[in-house]
Amino acid sequence: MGCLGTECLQLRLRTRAVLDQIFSMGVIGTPSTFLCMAFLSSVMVVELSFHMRLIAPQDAMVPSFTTVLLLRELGPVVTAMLASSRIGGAIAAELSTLNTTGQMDALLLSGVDPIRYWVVPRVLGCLISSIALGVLAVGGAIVVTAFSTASYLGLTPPLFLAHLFLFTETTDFYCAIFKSVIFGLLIPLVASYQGMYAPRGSLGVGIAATQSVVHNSVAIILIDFLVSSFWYAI
Amino acid sequence: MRLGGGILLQLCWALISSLRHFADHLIMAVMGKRTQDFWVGVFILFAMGMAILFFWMMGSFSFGLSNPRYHLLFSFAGGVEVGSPVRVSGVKVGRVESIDFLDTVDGSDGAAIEVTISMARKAIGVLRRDSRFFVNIAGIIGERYVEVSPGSASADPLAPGSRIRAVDPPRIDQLLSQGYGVFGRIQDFLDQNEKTVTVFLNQLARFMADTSKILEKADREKLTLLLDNLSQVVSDVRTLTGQLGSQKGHEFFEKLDVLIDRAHEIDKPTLKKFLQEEGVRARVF
Repeated sequence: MGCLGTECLQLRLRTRAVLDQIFSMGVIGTPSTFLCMAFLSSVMVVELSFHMRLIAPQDAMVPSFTTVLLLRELGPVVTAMLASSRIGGAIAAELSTLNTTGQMDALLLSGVDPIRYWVVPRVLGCLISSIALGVLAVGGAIVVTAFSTASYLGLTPPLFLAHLFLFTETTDFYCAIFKSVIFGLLIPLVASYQGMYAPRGSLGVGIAATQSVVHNSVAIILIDFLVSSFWYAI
Repeated sequence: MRLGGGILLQLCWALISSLRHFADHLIMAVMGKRTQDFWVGVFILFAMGMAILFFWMMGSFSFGLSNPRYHLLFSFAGGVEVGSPVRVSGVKVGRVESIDFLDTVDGSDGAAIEVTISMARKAIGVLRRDSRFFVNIAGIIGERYVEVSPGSASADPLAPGSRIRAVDPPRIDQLLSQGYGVFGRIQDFLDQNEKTVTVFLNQLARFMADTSKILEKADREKLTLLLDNLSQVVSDVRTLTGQLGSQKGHEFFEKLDVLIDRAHEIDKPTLKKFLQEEGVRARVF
């Protein structure tokens, strides 16, 4: 984190590496994230409608609850889980391979800090991508929710829009952004650590990738719980 | 069944993976580095646009001029929160921007809270000095909102930025506590007079039953006739009592008064003497 701050302040960032990371995590990861969020939001519409009907036949409230759940939890968390399995594993495997093939030693011998050279651009790229992907994922899920509610519940677009942000507050959006920031920092840091300190050899590459995904997934769930608890307890 | 579900799941996953790999390969094959940067830019711009759209839809961001604001003074906000809708004649036109406590309680009307609302410019034309601002409840979940009723056409327009004393919502908690007190007293009364109340209710029930039986057995024509006669009697009595206050009525009462005075003077010998003088032979008394 210190290196990240220093790099940003001294404007010595490897812009190309950052853009590559954004492209890899954000642009290429968008379709799969959209696909997952689309199905998740559709399932939520069906489930929330079922539960609402147990209390009161009021389907007009379903978009409101869906939006709250998407913003507070599913948007940032699902995006981060997908990114951790895709990008976290990739970063860990890549750094572990660089370590195994001795490129890290070569870099150290050249007087270049591997953390500044490899980790900092990845962290910055993941941070930007995580925020942007989180926002786009929620937006895409809301669009799919509009179609789902129209086909399954028969809600017209004006009715859907009228109830969309009924229970949503600005703080929910800030919470989603904050979670995306935390996850955007967490995923590359955990993956880089696992990659750089994994046992050398082909076995180490596998272990690094697996450990990265497992540790990131557990950490995402735990941090999500902690952030939600403290954010809405204040 | 379980096997079929598993196969379906695997097929779906395979399809998703294939699509993802296809997209990855397509993008990497078609795009060079410059095109890649272009798509990164598009990606970031889309995300920023989406974020602005969210803020705008949630009412935290507006394009162009800010909407006019009004400051409503309440002594009890009644559950209104920041972001609650503002409706004019039932049409949503704004939101609650902030809720603040006043420095001191206003001594004249007890206002302690200032609720600042913003409203669309299209709606402020109907606001007048005598417009009423009050908290209302909508929907099955009890969503609170500020309702504004347009004022009369003769009143002056209400300028943006005005401070208005709003109508306080009813204190449901106070009503409940008062109702609780009243019901408590009723309960005490019933406990202390349980026998009396029971007897009274039994008698009332018996009376109602008897009345019902009588009404069932009674000849409806006779009953109607009786009611008509009763109505006529009441009408006659009303006419009579109305005439008692007239000049004739006063004269009648004066004569009656004189007659009663004279009657007091008549005793048994006087009456006997009068009858003998008149030649009437009769045994009186």
